[in-house]
Amino acid sequence: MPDNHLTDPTDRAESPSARAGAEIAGAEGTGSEGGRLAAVVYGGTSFVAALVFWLVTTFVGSYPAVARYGGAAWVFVLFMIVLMPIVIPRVRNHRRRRRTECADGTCVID
Amino acid sequence: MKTTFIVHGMSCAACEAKVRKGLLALAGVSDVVVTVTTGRVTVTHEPSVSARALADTVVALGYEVEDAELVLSVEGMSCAGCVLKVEQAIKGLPGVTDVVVSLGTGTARVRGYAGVLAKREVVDAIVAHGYEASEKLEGMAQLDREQEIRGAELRRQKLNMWMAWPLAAVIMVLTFQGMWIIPEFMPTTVKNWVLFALTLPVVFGPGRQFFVHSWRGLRRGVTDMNLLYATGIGASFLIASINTIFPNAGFGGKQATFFESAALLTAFIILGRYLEALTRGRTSESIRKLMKLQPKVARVLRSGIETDIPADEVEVGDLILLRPGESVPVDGVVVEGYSSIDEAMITGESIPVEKTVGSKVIGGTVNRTGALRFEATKVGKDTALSQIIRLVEDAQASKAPIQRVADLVAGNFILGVHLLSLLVFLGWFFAGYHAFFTPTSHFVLSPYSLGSMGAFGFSMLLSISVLVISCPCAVGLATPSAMMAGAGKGAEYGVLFKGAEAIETTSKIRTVVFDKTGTITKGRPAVTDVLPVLPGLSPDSLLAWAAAVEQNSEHPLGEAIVEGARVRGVAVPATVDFDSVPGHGVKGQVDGRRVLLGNAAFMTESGVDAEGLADRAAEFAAQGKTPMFVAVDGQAAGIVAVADTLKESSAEAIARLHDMGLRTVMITGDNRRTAEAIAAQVGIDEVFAEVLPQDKAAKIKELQSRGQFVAMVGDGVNDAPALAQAQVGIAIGSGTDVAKETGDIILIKSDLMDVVTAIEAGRATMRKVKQNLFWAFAYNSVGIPIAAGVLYPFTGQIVGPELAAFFMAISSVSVTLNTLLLRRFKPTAWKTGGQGPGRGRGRKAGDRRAKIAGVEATLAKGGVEVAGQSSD
Repeated sequence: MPDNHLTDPTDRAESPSARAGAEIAGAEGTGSEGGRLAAVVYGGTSFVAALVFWLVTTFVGSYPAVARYGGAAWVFVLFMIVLMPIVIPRVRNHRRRRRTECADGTCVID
Repeated sequence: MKTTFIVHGMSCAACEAKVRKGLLALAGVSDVVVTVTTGRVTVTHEPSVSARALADTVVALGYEVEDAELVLSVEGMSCAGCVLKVEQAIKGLPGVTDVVVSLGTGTARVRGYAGVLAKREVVDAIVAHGYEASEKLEGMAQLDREQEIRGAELRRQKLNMWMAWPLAAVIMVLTFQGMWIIPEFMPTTVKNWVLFALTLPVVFGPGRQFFVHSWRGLRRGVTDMNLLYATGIGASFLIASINTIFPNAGFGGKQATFFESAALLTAFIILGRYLEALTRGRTSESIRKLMKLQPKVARVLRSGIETDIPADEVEVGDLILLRPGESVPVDGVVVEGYSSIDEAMITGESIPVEKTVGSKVIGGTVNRTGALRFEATKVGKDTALSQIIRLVEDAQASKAPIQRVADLVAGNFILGVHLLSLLVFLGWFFAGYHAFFTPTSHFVLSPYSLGSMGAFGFSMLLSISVLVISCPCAVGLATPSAMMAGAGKGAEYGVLFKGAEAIETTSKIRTVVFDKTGTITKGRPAVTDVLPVLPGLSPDSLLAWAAAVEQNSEHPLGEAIVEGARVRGVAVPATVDFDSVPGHGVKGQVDGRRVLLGNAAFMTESGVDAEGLADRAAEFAAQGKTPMFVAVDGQAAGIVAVADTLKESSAEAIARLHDMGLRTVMITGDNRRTAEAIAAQVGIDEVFAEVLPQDKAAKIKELQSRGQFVAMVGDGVNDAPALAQAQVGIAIGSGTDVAKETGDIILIKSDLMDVVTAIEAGRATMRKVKQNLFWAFAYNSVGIPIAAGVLYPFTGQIVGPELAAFFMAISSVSVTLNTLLLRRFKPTAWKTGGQGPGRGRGRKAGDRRAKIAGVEATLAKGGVEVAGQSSD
């Protein structure tokens, strides 16, 4: 299939569909509402995991401060790394689905 | 928002109303403008309505939405994780229906709806994920660009190595500070600060790329190999820095710095990247060889003036001048001159082919002796060579089913490894350290003990080692690198695989079904026997009479007799009173004698007693030949037998297939006696005779229902359904366009030994894929548990992060090197002293470095000699 059927990039940059595309692209980034929600989920969960680690090491056993704080930080980092690729696409898909449902009038407005 | 599609199939106002109404019925669509004349449908809709939903609605209404395809070069991908990352980046874009990203070729092939798929958006999405993307160029321009990119990558990694390795070496020496005379000059505290100062530029100079790439991906929810490096290097450096700046923080103190880990980790990973960049380019050598065959300049005669122009600018109909020693710039037909052309690089035939007025010339071949003037018939993308290149490129850029599994594993591998790293940390921190740690234990291949390392430092070390030793790269590279090399090797020997899937399925073939006419046989009847019975009558005289009466006939058997006389140099006298009796024979006056030629019934009807020849005629028929009686002046004069002759290599190819453990079947519309005669001559195992063209596919299905994995080899239009039904369709070079479009493999020549070559190439490639996957998975399966410390309770040794990095670098390089061994692949037919198609023709191993494929490379539509149109 020849490429000349592709829309001209410069035209698309100004077109309404380009703006819509930018909206979608924005939703995928971290700065949008969806990105913030995802950040709250993975950041919050990682923080809770790190906190649990710190509490356990503080109240059980006799770990030095560096092990408690350092370990909590390492747990936080690894949890973030594990959760980010899981949470971000899920939140993005969830919001996309919800937008579709709302357009159909089938969603429940909170 | 508005979305515009190009829709085919709308022919009237009713169609317009139907499309409009159908789209308006969708929730979220507010307006639809349909222009029947241009086929444009512009839909105004809510962003929640996807382009796919709109297109699906149009298709459901019975129309076709035009597709567009975009092929981009993607730079910076280094592992299967990157492939997944780029695919995910593109998949979510409006109008995109399918994405295939190839690590081996560094391309992204994006399909979508014409009018919606926007190049800029696709490029931006790839760039946003940390890679470079640009439209894939054509031919040599792409080759030059790829070389430039690889050159730049090699230079960049070489520069990084020059920075990382000397510093890492100094850091390593300083790490052994306690052993030599260094303590005399440098106390421990100072040493740590020196190490910190030396490691900092390594981590944030050459190592910066890993942090940047992993962060770009992570913030969009995707991971790749860089993340493993970044966490490993980052954590090592961080602990070392804390122990230097805050020695009493409890990480093991100033004695336990891991600067050498961070530095050597970076250095080894960069070494791996450099070696990978160096070796990966070599897997695509075949395509480079092909591209280099394309001449850059053509000498064109325009308005009577000779002008040198770029070969790309030659137009169909241009007259091109060719001097001795020059390459043919495009495909064409000779209009003036006489010469011989070396077509070895395309056909593999070492003897130059004579060319005179009316002969076809193929772009990329070399003119040897004389000057020629020819008219361009195929230019640019339509030349045989361009189409071969495109087929090989497509095969290299596609994915085999086995690769999709590997991609899935590799894509989720990084996440899994981080999870494992977390579990290893927690396990050793809370339980393992207290149960097994002894201060005298030490690193593998190192005399240094772990000393007073605490639970945190110990657990962290093992956690980092797990991250660093794991290598999804090896898993990700295992399949595409071998597929690229295999597709290229196939092309080198005249076998074009249409995709990686074709390579994989070819390796599984257990039964090969051959069409008869034009595949096993030449597809052109020829005189096989001339049997005179009249006293004093020579075979040539009998043939001359037969050819004389047949020269006015248009029957294929008659043409064969005339051609037989011409080939034997027999002069054919003129005929008068020619008459043809359809279905029986022909008659006429030759040199004043009444000559009849036809079947037995024709002889009987004409009052000729041919009973004495009946036995010989029956013998010929039993051999699959068609006997034709010749009578002169009312007396039986002899028999001329005509048959479709076997190709030279048919019997040998089938014998070789049997040696390979394959079963062979022949399928034909001919009568059983002829079919079995041919089958017996070549050694076919099973024959399906008297099969109507439309039933060939059913026969293939029947074999499949017996549990056989079937390849069909054919050439004709009537073979197309069977080619499609078989697991692997193999179209031979002289076949029809339909057969070649349907087949999964195209043999550029019509030599059946190439069927053997195709299967050997498929098997060799898949063997390599399996070896690669085995080593990649075995490496990870063994390496990760060892890095996680499973042997520590028994051996008291752990793998340090720097050693883990070394193993990781070795693993992905070893996969690429193993793939490069495919370069040594040589089909049986081409081995020195082998039984290949080149025997007796002076073709020896290595005498055609640039052989590549194909005769008259019949790939180009039209303008192709259809040598073997199947008639059965």
